[in-house]
Amino acid sequence: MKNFIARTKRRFIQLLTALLYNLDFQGIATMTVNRAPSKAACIPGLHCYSCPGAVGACPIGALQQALGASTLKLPFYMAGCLLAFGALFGRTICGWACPFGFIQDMLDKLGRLLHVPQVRKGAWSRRLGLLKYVMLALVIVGPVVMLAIDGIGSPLFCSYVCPAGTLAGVVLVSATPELQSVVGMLFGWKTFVLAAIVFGAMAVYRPFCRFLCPLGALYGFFNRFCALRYVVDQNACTGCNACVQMCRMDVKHVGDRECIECGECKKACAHGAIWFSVELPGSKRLGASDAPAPVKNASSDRDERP
Amino acid sequence: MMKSRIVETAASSGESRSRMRRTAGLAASAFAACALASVPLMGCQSEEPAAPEVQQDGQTAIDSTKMRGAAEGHPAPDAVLELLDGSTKSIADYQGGVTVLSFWATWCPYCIKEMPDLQKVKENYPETNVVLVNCGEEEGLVSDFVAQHDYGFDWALDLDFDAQRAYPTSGIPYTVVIDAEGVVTKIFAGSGPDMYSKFEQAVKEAAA
Repeated sequence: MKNFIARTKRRFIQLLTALLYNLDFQGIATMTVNRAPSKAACIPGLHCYSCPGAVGACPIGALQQALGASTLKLPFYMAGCLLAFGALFGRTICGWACPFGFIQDMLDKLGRLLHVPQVRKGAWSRRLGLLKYVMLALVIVGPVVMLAIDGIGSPLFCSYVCPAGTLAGVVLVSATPELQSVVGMLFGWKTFVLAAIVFGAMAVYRPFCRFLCPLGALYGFFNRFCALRYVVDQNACTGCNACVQMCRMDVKHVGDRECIECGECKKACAHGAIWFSVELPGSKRLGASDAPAPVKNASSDRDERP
Repeated sequence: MMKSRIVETAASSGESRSRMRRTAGLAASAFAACALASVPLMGCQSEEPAAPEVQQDGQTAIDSTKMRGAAEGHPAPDAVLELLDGSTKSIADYQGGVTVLSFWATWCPYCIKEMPDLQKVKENYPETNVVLVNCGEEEGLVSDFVAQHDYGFDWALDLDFDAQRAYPTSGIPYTVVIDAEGVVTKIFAGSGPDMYSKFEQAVKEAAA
């Protein structure tokens, strides 16, 4: 029973956060988008503001909106939110508190259940992972550029890429004739992107998270020093690399910018060198140096020191 | 935030495990508390309350839980509009001709972007009433905007959101096409690249 709880607690928290982000039952029942005061608060994961059930704002959407519409040179509230989430949680949010990540996890299970041929990670996926930094650049630069071009700071990532929004959109459009009057080619494109990611997620692990998510890209920068993360005990680590091999994301080391802090590597470590650290300001960690150590590698890549 | 420092080492003792369980329990109850706290916030809808339950001008009462005012094929909800020139006119007064009722605001770039298409409708179908209802903005702001642009619309203010309560929507622009008998024939929730052809088709169908 204890093992079962230990194994499923991440799933439980993922499910709980997905439900928490969607508490607007009235909105879901009436297919309307809420504009209550709580919608001004950003939730840490990727969840569209325009979802009928959403109780908060998507940080990526809100960031683009602030960049495109605000007269401030720096959108302070958004920058503050993202810094706070990043510094506290880094990509723990990806692994524990993102509904779209959760959906991909479930699709991965479904894909294996249906015996969909699985595509393993490799050098190709590591390279493709750079695309999410392009998406991040699009998020930041897009609205500003569009504002200069036609006076409308269009949120390009939301408009052309984001599948989380399309999930909400497909449901809304199906239920609302007034929306059907206005949708056209762009909606068709977005639905195609969503379908590609949904089907892709059955064969490839978390394709959106690895290759496209700008929020994951942003949070990844905090992974080395955020308050909640998995770290490797340098003294206990033997450099066997079992953790990296077990990992389904494109990590080079445990806890690097690709790591979603899911904890699967911990189970692979035969030497008990991986543990989850909760580091509050002023506290000291037991038995490890101050910086998370890179895994000593037989076929070593260049050392990624923070 | 958690008060105690939790460190999960490989050789956890039973004592630290029960500490972890307690903290996990604390975290779970914190989550639950946040969830419960946010539920009353859901009730605070400042701008889009339910559609009116009262009978208006003989139309059937709208189910307030549905928050739908205008619906295609149903009579258009009535509301009193304060026109920019100071006069008042209710939406029902526009009956006798096709009316294109569009909700907009100066801060809504997509509303402004589709105004040339509405202007084209007005020019090509001059007997159509094109009424632009501003969403809650001050008279000065709206008249400045009107002065900067040369559109032949009926401009209306809606400072107390009365008209919007009759036509609740998730977003603007929100365009309702009403035929001469006061029945809604088409609703456009939002905008798109080529609205003119859509508007034109709706106006033609409403006139038929």
